[in-house]
Amino acid sequence: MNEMALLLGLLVVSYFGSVLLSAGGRRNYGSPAGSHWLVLGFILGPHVLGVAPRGAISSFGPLALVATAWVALVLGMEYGHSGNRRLSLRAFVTGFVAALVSAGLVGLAVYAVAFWLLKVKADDARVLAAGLGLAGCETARQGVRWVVERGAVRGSSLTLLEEIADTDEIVPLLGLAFLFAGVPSALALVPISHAGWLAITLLLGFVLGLTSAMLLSGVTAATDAWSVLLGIALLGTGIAWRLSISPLTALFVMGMCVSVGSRHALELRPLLARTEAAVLLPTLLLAGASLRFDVAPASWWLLGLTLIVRTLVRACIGYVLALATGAQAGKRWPLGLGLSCTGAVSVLVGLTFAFRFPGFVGNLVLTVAACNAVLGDLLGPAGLRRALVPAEVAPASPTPSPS
Amino acid sequence: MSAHGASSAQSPLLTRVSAAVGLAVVFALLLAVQRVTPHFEGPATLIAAVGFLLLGGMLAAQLLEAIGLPHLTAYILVGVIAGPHVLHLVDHEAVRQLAPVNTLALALIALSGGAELRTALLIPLRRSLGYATLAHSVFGTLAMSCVFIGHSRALPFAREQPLPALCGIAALWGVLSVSRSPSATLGILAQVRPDGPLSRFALAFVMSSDIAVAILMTLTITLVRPLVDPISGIALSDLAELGHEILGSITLGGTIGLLLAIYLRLVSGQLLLILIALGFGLTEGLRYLHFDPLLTFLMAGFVVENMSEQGPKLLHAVEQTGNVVYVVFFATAGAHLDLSLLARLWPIALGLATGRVVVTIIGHRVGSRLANDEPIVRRWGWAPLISQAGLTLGLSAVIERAFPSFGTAFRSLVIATVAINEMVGPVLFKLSLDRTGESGRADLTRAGTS
Repeated sequence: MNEMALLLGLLVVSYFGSVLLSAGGRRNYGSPAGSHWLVLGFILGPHVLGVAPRGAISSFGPLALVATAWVALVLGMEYGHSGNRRLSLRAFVTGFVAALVSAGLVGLAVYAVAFWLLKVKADDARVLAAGLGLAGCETARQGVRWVVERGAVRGSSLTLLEEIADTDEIVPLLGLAFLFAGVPSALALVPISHAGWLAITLLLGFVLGLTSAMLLSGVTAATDAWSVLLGIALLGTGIAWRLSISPLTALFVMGMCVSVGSRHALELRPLLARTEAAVLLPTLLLAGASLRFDVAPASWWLLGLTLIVRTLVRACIGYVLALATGAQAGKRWPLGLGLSCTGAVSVLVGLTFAFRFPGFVGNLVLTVAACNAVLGDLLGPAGLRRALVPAEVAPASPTPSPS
Repeated sequence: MSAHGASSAQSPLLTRVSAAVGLAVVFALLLAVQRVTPHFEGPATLIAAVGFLLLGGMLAAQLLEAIGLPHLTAYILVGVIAGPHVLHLVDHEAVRQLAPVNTLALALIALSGGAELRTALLIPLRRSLGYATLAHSVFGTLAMSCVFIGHSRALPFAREQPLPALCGIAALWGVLSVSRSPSATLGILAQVRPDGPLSRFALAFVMSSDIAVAILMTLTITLVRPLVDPISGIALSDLAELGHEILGSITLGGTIGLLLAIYLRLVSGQLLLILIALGFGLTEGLRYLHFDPLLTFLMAGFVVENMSEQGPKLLHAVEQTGNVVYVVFFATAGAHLDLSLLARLWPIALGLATGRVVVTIIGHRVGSRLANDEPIVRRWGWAPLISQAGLTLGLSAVIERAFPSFGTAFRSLVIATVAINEMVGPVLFKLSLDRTGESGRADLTRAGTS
C-alpha cells in the first residue's frame, strides 16, 4: 500500500468517525474508547498483514502529530465543562488527585523495576517511569458515557465518575510539559532551565489562546473561525515541536484560554467537539499500525508490570471513591475496575512519546498506552455495568447487520 | 459568529487592530523560534509554515483590504515576505513539501470553476466567447511571438538561435502568454462577490480558455519541434494523445460529476472529506491515466451544476474548504517566487509583461468589437485576463521537458514574468470590478431573489 492509498484509507476511517458522531445518540457498536481502531491498525500494520508498510506510516508522522495536538485543543476547550455546565471544584480536585496518585504509583513501580532489576540507565528509567505513569492515568469519558447509555443508575457514584473522567486529563497533559521541559532540545542555542522550558510551554499556550480569542472576536463567519483556530493550532504545534516542548500541553492550554476568553466559546465548543471523532479515529488507526513489539526483552517485563500495577491502583482508587460516595459493598470493586477504562488521551500521550523519544522508550510507552486502552475497554465497561446498571435493565441489543 | 453569515461583529477598526496585533504576534513567535533553533530540520518546520501562511495570509488580507488590495495579493505578499528569499521563515524544503496543497487547491478551483459555468450563463455569451477565443488565440499568440522576438537580443538562450528556431521558441512564448489564471479569477470573484456582464464574461472566458490553451500548446509543441530541432519531425501521435487526454478527461469528469450529484442528493454529509479524497486520490489516478485533472474537475463541476439541482450545495462546500486551502495555496505561490531570479531578469520580464498587457488590451478590443459586447465588457474585459499563475507555470514545465536545450532558461524567464503578472493581475481585476460597480452585487441579487 502506498502513501496515497493509506491516506484514502485514513479518510475513509475519518468519514466513518464523522458519520458515527453525526448519527448522535447511543453507540451500539465497537469498544467504548475506540480501542478496536487500535487493534485494526495493528492488524493492518507491518507486524501482521503488512498492508500498511512502515515507510508509509512514518510519512504520516506530521499528520498524526497535528491530529494529537488538535485533540488536545478540543480537550482544552471542553475542559471543566460537562456540556455547557461548569464542573465543581470538588470534581477538579478529585480528578486531579486520582490521576496524580495513579501516575505516581505506576511510575514509582516502573522506575524501581527498570532501574534496580532491569538495569535500565537512570535517565531512561526516569523518562520511562514518567511516560508509563502518564499513559494511562486518565479515565476515558467515552467509557463512562457508554455505560450511561446502557441504563446506568444516576447517583453520586456515577456523577463522581463522570466528573473524574471530565477533569483528570489535565494530569497527563501537564505531566508531559514537565517531562519534556526536563529533556530540552539539543538544537536550542539559548541555555534555558527546566523551569524556564516549562514556563515557555505554558506561556506559548497562553499567548496562542489569547491571540485566538482576540482574533475570534472579530470573526463573523464560521469558516474564518476555522482558519484562525487551524492556523494557530498548526503554528503552535510546529513551534512546540521545534522547541522540543510538549505540543499537547501548549494546545490544551490554548484551548482553555479560548474557552475562557472568547465570547464565541459557547458556539465553538460543540463545533470543535464534532471534529474529535473524525480526527481521533484515523489517529488511533495510525497509532495501532505504529506499534512495535520487537524491542528488548526488558520491555515485556515492564509492559506486564505496568498493566498489572495500573489495574490494581485504579481499582483501589475506585474502591476508595466508592466508599466515599457510600456505594454498596458488592459494587465497590467493580466500580474500581470501571476506572481502568482509558483511551484517547493515553494513546495520544503514547504517540507523542514515540515521536519525542524514538526508540526503546517511545515504543514502549506507545505500546503500553495501547495495551492499557485495550485492557481498559475490556475491564472498565464490564465493571461499570456491574456497579451502575441495575439487573432488570436489559443491555442494548446490537444494531442488526444488513445481512 | 454563524455558519453562513455575520452576527454581532465588532467595529472594522478594532478588527484591523486585532489583525495587526495578531500578525505581529505570529511573526514574532516564528522569528523568535527560528533564532533559538536555527539549525532545526524536520516536519515541525512544515507544520509551523502551513499554520503561519494560513494565519498570516488571512490577517494580512484583512489589513490590506482597507487600501483596496485583493485578498489574493495579500496572501502572495505574506508568502513572499516569509519565504526563503526574504525572512526565511518558510524554507525551500517546506515550500516543496507543500506541493500537495497545490494539488488539492487546483482540484477545488476547477470544481468550483465548472460549477460556476451555468449553461444559462454560457449560451448568451457564446458569441463573445467565440470571438474572444479567436482574437486571443490568433492575434494574441502572434503578437506576443513578435514581442518575444523583439526582446530576443537581450536573452542569451534566444539570441544565438537560428531564425527558424527563434520563431519556434517565440511561438511557444506566444501561446504561454495567452494562458490565464483560473485560480486568481475565482479567488477575486469569491472575495468581492460581483454580479454583472464583466464578471460573467471573466468567469466564462477564463475557464473555457484553459481548454483552448491546452490544445494550442500541444499543437504548437508538435509543430515547432522540427524548427527547434531539425532532425526531429512532426509526431502525429502527440495529437492522438491529446485527443485521448481531452476526451478521456471530459468523459471521466462527467461520470464523476454524476456520482457527486447522486451523493449530494442522497447523503450530502461529510463533504469536506469527500472533496479532500477527490482532490488527492482522483488527481493521483488521473495522472496515472494521463488525463488532465483541471479539465476533469471542471467537467465534474459543470455536470453537477447543469445536470442536477445540487450545484449550490457543491459550491458552498467547495467555498468552505477552499477558504482555508486557497490562502495556503497563494501564500505558497508567493513563497515560491524566486526573487533573486526576478532581480536578475526584471527588465526583460517587465518588458514582456508590459507587452502582454498591451497585446491583451488590443486583442480584447478587437474580439469585443466583433462580438458587439456590452460597453462595460468592451472597456474592462481585458482586466481579468492579466493574471497568470499555476497553469502557466505548469505549461512552462511541459516546455522544459520537451525542449531540454533551452527549456530551463526559458522557464526561468516564464517564472519572472509570471511573478509580475501574479502581483499586478488580481489588483487590476479587482479595480475593474470596483469601477464598474459589480463588486458585492451577487449578495444584493441573492438577497433580492430570496
